[in-house]
Amino acid sequence: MVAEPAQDQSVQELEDKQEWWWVAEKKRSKRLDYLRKSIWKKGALGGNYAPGIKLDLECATLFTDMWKFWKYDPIMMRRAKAIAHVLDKKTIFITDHAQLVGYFGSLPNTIMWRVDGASMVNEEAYNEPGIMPEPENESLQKVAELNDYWAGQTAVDKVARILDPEDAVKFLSGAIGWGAPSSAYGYSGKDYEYLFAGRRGFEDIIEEINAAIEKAEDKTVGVPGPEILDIYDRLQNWDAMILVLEAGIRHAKRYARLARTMAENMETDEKRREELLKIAETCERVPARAPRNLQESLQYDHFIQIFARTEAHEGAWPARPDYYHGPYYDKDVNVDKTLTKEDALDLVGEFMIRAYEVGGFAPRWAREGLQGITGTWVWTLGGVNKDGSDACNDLTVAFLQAARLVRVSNPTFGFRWHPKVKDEVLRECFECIRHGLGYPSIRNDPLLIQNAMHWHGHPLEEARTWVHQACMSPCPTTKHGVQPMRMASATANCAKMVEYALHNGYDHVVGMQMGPETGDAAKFHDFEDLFQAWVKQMEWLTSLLVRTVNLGRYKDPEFFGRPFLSGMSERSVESGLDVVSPVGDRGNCWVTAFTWVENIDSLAAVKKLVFDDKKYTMEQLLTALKANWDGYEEMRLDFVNNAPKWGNDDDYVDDIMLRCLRETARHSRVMKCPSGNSWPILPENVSGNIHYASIVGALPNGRRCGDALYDGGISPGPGLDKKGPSAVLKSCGKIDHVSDGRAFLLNQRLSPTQLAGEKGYQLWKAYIRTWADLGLDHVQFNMVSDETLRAAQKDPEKYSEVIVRVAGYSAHFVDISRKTQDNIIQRTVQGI
Amino acid sequence: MSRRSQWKQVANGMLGDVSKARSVEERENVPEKACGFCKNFSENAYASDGRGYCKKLKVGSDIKVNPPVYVMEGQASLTVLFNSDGAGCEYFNRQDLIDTDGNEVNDPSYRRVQRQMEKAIK
Repeated sequence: MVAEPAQDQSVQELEDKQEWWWVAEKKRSKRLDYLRKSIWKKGALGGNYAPGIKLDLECATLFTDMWKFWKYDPIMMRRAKAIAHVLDKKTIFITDHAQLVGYFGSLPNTIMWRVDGASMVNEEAYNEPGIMPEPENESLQKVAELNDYWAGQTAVDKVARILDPEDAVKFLSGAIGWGAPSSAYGYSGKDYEYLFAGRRGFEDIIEEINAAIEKAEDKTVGVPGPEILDIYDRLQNWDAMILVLEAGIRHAKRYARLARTMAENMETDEKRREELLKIAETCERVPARAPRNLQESLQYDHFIQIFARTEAHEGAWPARPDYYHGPYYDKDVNVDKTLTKEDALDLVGEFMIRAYEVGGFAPRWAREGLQGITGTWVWTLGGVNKDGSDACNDLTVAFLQAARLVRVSNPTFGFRWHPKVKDEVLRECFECIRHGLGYPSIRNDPLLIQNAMHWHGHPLEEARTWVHQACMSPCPTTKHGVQPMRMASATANCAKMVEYALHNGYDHVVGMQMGPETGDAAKFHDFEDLFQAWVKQMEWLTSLLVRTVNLGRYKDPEFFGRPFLSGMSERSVESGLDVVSPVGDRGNCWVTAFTWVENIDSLAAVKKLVFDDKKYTMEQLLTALKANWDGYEEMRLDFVNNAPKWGNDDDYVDDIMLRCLRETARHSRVMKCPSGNSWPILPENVSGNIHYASIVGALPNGRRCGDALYDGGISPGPGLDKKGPSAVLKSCGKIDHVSDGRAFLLNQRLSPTQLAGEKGYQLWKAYIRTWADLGLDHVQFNMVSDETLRAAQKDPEKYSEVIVRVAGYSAHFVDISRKTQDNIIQRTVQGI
Repeated sequence: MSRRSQWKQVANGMLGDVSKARSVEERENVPEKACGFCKNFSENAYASDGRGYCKKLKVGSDIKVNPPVYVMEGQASLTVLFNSDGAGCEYFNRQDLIDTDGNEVNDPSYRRVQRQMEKAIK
């Protein structure tokens, strides 16, 4: 139930009260209001799905039927035929008042089920309360049948079978990391330079593939030799790409037919008839051929994303919509004047709503770790052109304005800030933050371009095309730079590093010897002994996770196969290789470092209170930790209050942060991805700090098992940054944001009262200058008062549209668990 | 036994029951003394596919045979399912479930999010 704004209040009154969600309702067009309210919320509410959300059995069944039928085909061809069958046969619909179409499920309330990804996930779907379509018993029977067919032959089953069994057991314990080593659940970049800058439609790509096939076939009927042997496989791959691209064209034409049928036989409203005919014309044009206007361009992009998600459960949405759609906006609005700004804003707002609607059934770790959303759709805005000039355009502004009107929590934006950004654009960014969206996050563009060049050798021009590969990591959208598969199984629960260093590698939570035996911590003589134990645990933990990803990536073309995504990639169209093959991929890997700062505060606490001040012995500390601090409250508070904490510009603890980062960066260069590139870390958290709260044992920073962990990245612990925002920035500025890691998330809370009006904007702008001068790569803001958040806890129906920044993503406040809500309220509100 | 073989045994215990075909009845059946009702059951933190750890028993234990085999020492805990039958296990220790809603209870030691558990306690 959505509460209605008080009808008698003016926009001005609502703005004065900073009730931005009601402001949005009053300001947005009737169409946007309808579309925003007509979609189903697919993000899990803390851990379970909202009432009314149902598992999509139609697509899973269609896919499986065809998969069984073509059992002798090579995997790419088999998947292409199964996907084509889904696209040809699944139910389609057009939402009233919509101008853009396409959903990857069969009904608006269904969540897509990636049935061939992992048996474990399939069993989760079977066990999940409330999501079986009625009649429940029939659905359970159907799901059990599908699960039984796929048991043991999903992509993750196949990887798990060949992983080192010790690695498999420790990874699947859920204690040290999460994710799945398969592109079935990956973050897939799209080769936008090839598609949009190259102005190609699917027919153009098919033409290029046919030319490549012709060349290859000359060889297969030519001189025999070892060099022609892999061409036979490539020919199969090319055929698979063509097959699925043609299915995509047919799928769009189904929408065209539906829209035309509705217009000609059902619709009585003349204006809507015209809109339906425009939809028909659009879907007849794209994706078959390159777009000519903004509606076609946005529709084309949406189809690409929907088809890719029909092929795999994509957990992220790397995109740069203002850059690639900007020329069409400019042509329609400024040059040809075929669209008014208001009409364009409707299209842009709907484009965001269509993405918000997308949701697949996610494993529990993803539902708890990404509470309230269905994946990290962080779209990239701003930045520079390939020549280094400012890339912001009118569409950048339109996206920022549309975001304030539709107030979706997914997608969110990451804004590529650079010194040439115009004031009018920066103001729009600030307005979004002021309205409490929690986005855009602000990214230091010059620094991140340098970072992409430093770690993975992307040339300058290509690095300048970067998009957020997930929440944070910069990745080019070019032939050799685009990342087809970044698997979340290189996501580390880093607090375990210090926990294992203190407990000789043993995990008391899952009752298993996890890390290497680095010695009885009670016998450590000095801080150096403990630190070296930490280094060994860090090396072990990151190496284990990276091994799962590397193997998964290497075997993916054999175990899974991505014919559609391959057809979207210049690299694959040219070579005939599955896009996931590391051949020709420069590499863009990173290890997501959850729960990172706990290491620093814990190590600093031991150094200070045990080794330097000798106030406690290691024996005493270990006893207290094993008791989960129970019976040691005074001592625990000593470790909370009287040990140095990160984020206060205190070299004592900040130097430990640098040591930890530099040891990890050293090891990052030792570990290699299948392309031979490094594995830098990227500290951030999403809501993993809540998911892992009961999985991480008691720590020397005074945390008990069960307490929420810090909110992530390099953000100080909630309430522990006591010296103001400059001290936080100075601590974070000591880190080298180019060579110490891939990116570093910083959450900050600001006071909506202090930042009201023009003065507020000027203060924030000065803050951003300082942030940039200190060389930080990321910062994101919550600007919602405690009063509002507490009122929302008490009265969720009235505050259903309040959005907060969790970590790397935003969510509606009422859609996250109480523990996560409390964790956000606890964060220090900085006065600047 | 080599390191690899030992861990293979653990991996089979962990993945075997989930990655094989089972009937609806097998999936739906929650015995009176299911492991999920036991205080020693800790749901797997990675998935809600039904797997969990026994906080008492280690790999090599077998509570399905008569008499049961109890292994109390080892590198890894015994993996069981929430609806494994714990009737023959002398360590079975019933826990009163007050809530099986997975929205708020993040602690695997207390979390029982499966639909079948919800049904079983109603």
